[in-house]
Amino acid sequence: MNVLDQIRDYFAGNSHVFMANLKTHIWLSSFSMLAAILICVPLGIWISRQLKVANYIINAINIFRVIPSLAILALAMPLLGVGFAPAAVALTILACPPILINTYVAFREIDPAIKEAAKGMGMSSLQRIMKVEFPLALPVMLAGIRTASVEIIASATLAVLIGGGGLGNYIINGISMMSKSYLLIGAIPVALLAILSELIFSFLQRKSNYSN
Amino acid sequence: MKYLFDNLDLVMQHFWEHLQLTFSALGIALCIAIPLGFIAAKYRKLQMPITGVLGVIYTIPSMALYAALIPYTGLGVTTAMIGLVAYAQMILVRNVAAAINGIDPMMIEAAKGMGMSKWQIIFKIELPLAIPVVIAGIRIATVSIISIGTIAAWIGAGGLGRLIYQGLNHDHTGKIIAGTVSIAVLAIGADLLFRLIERIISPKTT
Amino acid sequence: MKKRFLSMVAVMLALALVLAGCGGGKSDGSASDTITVGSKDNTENHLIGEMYALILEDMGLKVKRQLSLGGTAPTFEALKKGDLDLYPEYTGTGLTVMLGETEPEKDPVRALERVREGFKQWNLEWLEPASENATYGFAMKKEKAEQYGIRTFTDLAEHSHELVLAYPQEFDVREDGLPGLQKVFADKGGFKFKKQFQIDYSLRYKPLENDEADVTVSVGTDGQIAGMGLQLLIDDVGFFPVYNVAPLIRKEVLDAHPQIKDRLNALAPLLTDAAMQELNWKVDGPDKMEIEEVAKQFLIENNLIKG
Repeated sequence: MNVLDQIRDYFAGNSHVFMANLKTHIWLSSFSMLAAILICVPLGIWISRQLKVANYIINAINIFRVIPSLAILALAMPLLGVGFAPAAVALTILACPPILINTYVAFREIDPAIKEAAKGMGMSSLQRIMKVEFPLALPVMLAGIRTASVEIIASATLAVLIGGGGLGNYIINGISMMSKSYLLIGAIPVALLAILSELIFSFLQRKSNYSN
Repeated sequence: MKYLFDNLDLVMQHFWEHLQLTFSALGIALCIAIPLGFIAAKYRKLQMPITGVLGVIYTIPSMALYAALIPYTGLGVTTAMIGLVAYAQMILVRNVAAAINGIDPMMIEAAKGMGMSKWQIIFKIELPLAIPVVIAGIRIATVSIISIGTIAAWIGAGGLGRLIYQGLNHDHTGKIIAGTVSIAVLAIGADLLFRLIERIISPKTT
Repeated sequence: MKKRFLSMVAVMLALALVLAGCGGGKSDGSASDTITVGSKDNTENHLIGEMYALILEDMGLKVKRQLSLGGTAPTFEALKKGDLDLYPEYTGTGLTVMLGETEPEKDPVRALERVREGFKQWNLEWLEPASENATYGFAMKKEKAEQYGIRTFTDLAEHSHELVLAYPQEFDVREDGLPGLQKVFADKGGFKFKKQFQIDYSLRYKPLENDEADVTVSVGTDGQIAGMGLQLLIDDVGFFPVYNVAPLIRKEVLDAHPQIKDRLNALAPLLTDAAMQELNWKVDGPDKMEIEEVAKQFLIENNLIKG
């Protein structure tokens, strides 16, 4: 039986399993992405105003990126158990650095003259951030989010190692069983998701550029 | 943490292997990424396909890539490097292209006005101005390579991944921590090194 | 500017070449009388691989170790390619993974015959297998098992809907895994668990430790069973195939050094389930002994190598 036939056979009987894994993968990636944005965008804005602490925080966060995800997962198990929670935490940590750094750089690069002008117009700090700085910073922020999204989608394949499910299931099984069909069933959707994510964010990035 | 201190020489051995692997892969990756990034910057039509293909390679889980390479390139350092160089391309090429595209077109106009040839412009204006941004990208790519390099242990290429995998396989938390801490140290070191280089090389414009 | 840039590139290239040159063992053309011994990364396989290496060295042969590789895929592919000369493999794995046989084999003798025949195509030979059977099983904490009155697979099937199962990669897709069990026990509770999740093989006992799972898939030679005081369920239907470990060696290496056969075969009868469990636990358990230590001790105690 060649690889294509094996793949067809698999889907014939197991498409619901595949859909479940796909959904888990997308859900895990989106959730972690959102969590990373909610945590690291405000953090990035904050440290762009505190130049002294900035470097330390950035370095601290970068360290987590280097540690192999499986190690983080294994060490987190006693605290977070298995399943969705530790996987989501690990992925959120992975997504933070590009988002944090890009937000920080984006906000720092804003021409101080513009900020002064806004202050002069009587805007409060929050208004300034939301109405003036944020739109200007958006393109560079989106570039960071774009990079983070690809990393998360790829890394989410490891979630299965700790009971988190997802498309990684097929890849790990494929390697273990030396089965090209399983590998492809896992790898191709992951690649497609990454490409889709790239397209969406680069589109958003370009739009935010034009509106400036 | 006790394991780390009790077995420092063993850990250092893995540390050194990992370092060698990282910088060799970096050097080779740059030789490919700089011309490739340049092409992507100059020929807009090619940019999407190039970054697209590299993006896809990036998503291929490294374990799968290495498993696929072994029948052709075997175990050890060579195979590990092929994987690392391939993964580094996504970050580096994008970075080089962005750096070159970010050069103020006025400078190029001025250079043309001064009668510089195309190659002179590339080597005297574009590449030097692109360097600081590229170094920042190299910094990020290096950290990535260090991280992915842990998988090298999987195919017998050594490195700090060996400590982490052994720790996982034999339920030895001390080894996992030793490996993790060492990788963090390596990454911080590399990061600081490149920040230093960035500061030295940046064109003195305020 | 140009000079600085070019010199930077030159420095990087030089650095790369120098490092690449002196970096790590290249995987080709080593002396033809050096034997490269490999192993997968799980404790047992690494231990046995180390034992093969020690025995060969005791014979006076030059040995290169490539132990603790990541799983069947890189290890077997490297053997086929010639980057490895021998490593410990399981007859069951040979059948289902490499030969793609969907019919699991429960007779150890038949399993050996089938893999010996099937592997001829790759010029690989199987030496004598050990009696240890590193086959799948199910383990539970004793209290849990008693609470539900579970001693056998049949008991497990009946109570499966009340329990949480943790399983390693492959288990949910192999015929000799969950799908097969579900078919066999379809009318006896079905092996349909309240909740089930996949976990990496190296972490398979953690969910039991944390009580995140009630049952975990175990391997018959795991040290944790005795070490953690777990209940290993009885395979009352003889479901799981047999996995005996044996040296898988390249034919040309065996032909060049025929004395290897007797020396490695002498190890086989000593690797029983009980012996293996004990050895595994020395590494995985609280002692956390180094693999080289454990392997060496065992061989010396059993007079397989000189102390």
